[in-house]
Amino acid sequence: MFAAMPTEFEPIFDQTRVNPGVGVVKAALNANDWSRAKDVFAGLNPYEQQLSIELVDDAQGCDGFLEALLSANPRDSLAATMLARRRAVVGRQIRGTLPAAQVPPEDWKIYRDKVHSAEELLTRTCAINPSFVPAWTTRIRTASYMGYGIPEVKRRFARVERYSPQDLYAQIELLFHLAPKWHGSLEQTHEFAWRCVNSSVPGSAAAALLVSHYQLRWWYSEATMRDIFTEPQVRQEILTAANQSVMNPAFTFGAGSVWALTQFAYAFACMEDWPRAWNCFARLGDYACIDSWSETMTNPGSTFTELRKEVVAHQ
Amino acid sequence: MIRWTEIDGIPAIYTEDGPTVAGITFRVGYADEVLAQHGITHLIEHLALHRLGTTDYHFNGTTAPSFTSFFTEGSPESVRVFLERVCGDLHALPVDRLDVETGVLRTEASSRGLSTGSRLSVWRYGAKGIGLAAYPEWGLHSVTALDLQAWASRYFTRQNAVLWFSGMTPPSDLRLPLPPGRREPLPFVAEAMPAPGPASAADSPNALGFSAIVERSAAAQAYAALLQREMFQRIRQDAGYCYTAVVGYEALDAERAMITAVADITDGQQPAAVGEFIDVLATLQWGELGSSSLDEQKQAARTARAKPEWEAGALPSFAQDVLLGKPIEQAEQLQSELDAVRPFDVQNVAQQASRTGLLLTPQGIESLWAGFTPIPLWSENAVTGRPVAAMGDENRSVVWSNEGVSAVGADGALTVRYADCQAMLMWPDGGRVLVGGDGIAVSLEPTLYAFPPEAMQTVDAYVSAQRVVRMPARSPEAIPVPPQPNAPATGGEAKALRRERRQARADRPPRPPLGPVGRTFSVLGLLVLIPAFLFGLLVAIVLLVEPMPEIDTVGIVTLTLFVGGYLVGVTWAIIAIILRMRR
Repeated sequence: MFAAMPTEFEPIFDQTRVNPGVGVVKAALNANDWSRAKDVFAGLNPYEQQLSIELVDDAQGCDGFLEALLSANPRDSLAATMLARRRAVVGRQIRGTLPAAQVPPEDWKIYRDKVHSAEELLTRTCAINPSFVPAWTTRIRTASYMGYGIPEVKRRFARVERYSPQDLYAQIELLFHLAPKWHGSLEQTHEFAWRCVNSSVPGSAAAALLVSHYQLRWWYSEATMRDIFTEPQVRQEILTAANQSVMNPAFTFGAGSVWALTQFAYAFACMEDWPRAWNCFARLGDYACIDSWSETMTNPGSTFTELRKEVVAHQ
Repeated sequence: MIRWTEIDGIPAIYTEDGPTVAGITFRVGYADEVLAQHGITHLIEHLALHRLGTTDYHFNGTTAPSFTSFFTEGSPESVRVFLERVCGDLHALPVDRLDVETGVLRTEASSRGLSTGSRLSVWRYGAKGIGLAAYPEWGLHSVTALDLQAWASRYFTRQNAVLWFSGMTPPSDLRLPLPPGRREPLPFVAEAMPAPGPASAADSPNALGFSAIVERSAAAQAYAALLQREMFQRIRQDAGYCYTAVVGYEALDAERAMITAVADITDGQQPAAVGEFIDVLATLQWGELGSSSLDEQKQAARTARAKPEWEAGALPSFAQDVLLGKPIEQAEQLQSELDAVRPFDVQNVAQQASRTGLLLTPQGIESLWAGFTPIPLWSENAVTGRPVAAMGDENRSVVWSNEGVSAVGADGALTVRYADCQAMLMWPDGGRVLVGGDGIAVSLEPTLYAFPPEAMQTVDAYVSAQRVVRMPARSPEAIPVPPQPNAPATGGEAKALRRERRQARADRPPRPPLGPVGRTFSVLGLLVLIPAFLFGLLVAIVLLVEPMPEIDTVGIVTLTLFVGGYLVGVTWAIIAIILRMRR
């Protein structure tokens, strides 16, 4: 039996606390200790490395620091990738979420310029250091931002796979960029998620991509999340995926495991499979990873808390 | 070893190794032509070879952008005969063959599509110089015997030629009947690409093309070889995005060379193929080339140059260098230059290629993200003059003036100024197309625009007579017609429609013959319908012979129409049943 969990609690969504290595990189960056940041970064697994790159998303004012690093060493792949990610994200923030036709032309231009400059940095980084996976992973995103087409997005993902097979972060990135929003389709996201389920190492996190696919399906449909997750076919698929991942005896806490548990906790809650949902929530403890939920939900944090409350109530 | 001599006042280069091959190369090609006379060099090349007919030895001619060559393979004696006859015929062209040969050339042209290389040329140079590769040989429509003689006298001269021989010693007593002239310099053609830096055009149907202008050097040749290797390995072998991936290195003049890369693309993989190619360029520019890959190229070149036939194969390009005033370098010297190339040198070439690059992508695939600026599809501005609106489309117009013409639409203007007009095609039906030096064309179609008479008069007066190409009559279908939304079908279209319907009826499968049940029902039907017909006939007769004063005129007419209709209907049914029973 799992220990009883308090019904009122503050979940920890901060990935620097969920993944302590990322926290160390953050601390080094905050201290402008680039040498230490690079050393710690080099020792992280690919998932944590990409989370470290993500740190720049909210790091206002880091642009100058990264530009100076790059100016001193133009072949610094990590600095170039972080700067590129920063420019792409800032560009996207300026563009906003309006449909393309409604974005003011001046904002559109800034957005394009930012993404192009990010892409230029990444192209050079990938040429200098072809096996530097974080740059290729970031290029999945820039390819979509530029509307460059699914074949190019897949090519970049294939390059990630060449150097880092079963790269969870890149798999999540690709799944969302195969969605209709980026000129893909739900058929493609489903096919890719299943491919990940079938090819994943038993006990690994990749099979949880199937939950992400159904979250996307919900986003593009009129149905409620429960309508979708309680369909017999979906229920069966989620069980299969869970048995390959978090319910597999080989499951251990490692790269992306908190994200996978969060995904399956959500899926089982929507399926009203309370015992399995509780199992996932209990193993998560105070931690959770809802980063990918922001693609489909306006308030992921409260959704997580509400679901958890409901699961606890059914215990 | 390549040796140098002079025969009959003409420079000659030769090697005693390799097969017995000889040729003569002149410093003239289609890049020397203007668009309105495009094809004249090619036509002379064909005519000069005509009288040789069929021989026991192989011979041919080629017209390249800047050089025209005639060459043959055979015995030393056949080489001598060939060179004497070709040079003689160049200045006694069989002009009675003009119509036949122009027909042959048009057929040759119609069998060729527009290659990716030609598209690259026209985007870089417009309708001038090497850019003419993309255009039909319009000069063939109006070329005269006098034009041919004048062109041959200027370019196919003793001072503008180089002889080359392999597998033999040049015959010192060879005499070639070429007139004196001068060494013709290469024509200067400015690039038509407006902006400095790498440019792009999304114009290719399903291929990828790249060209760059670099300094001629061993490093540039190494760059081209490495580009070929990387492109083939990554785009074709690893990813399977294409079938062919070819890189070429061609001297433009004594100092510069053009590197061209072309790949066809598998359907649906266009964005990925372009993405991979851009990464290939980036690898050569910024990546770790590694000395091993460069060493492989050096070794491959060393092996090729060690073969006895290498010098013979390289003679035509050495001949071109002689015509460009570039000293000939022996194989050992070329190899030592290549051996001295370091990865850093190749990266310098890659930088040059990046600055001067032109990327041609499939339609709809942009490459601005990779730093390639799209070439504008429109002219900077329209001429100021009198506009004529298009019939049936008020958003389009043609503006004409004493300066030039512009086709103006909602998206922009296409302008050709008379001073820069490279050709004006003119059809007997009154249509005209003006092509400017940048490759932009403006159509003046009287069927689409109600031009006042003075408009065409002005255009004709300002376009130089040497730039006018009188085209043969167009078929009616080739003459454009204005759009007519919701227009009723024309007589011709209505007839075609009726023809189709008739054909559809004729194509309908025949009905099967009636079975026993069908036949029984048919007989029963006749047994009912024939008395019904007779009854109707009787009523009609009564109506005709018996006056009915109690019914007014309207009633009589109504009754008559009813009985008439009844009789027609029953008669039609009886005939239909009889016809069906007879099948």
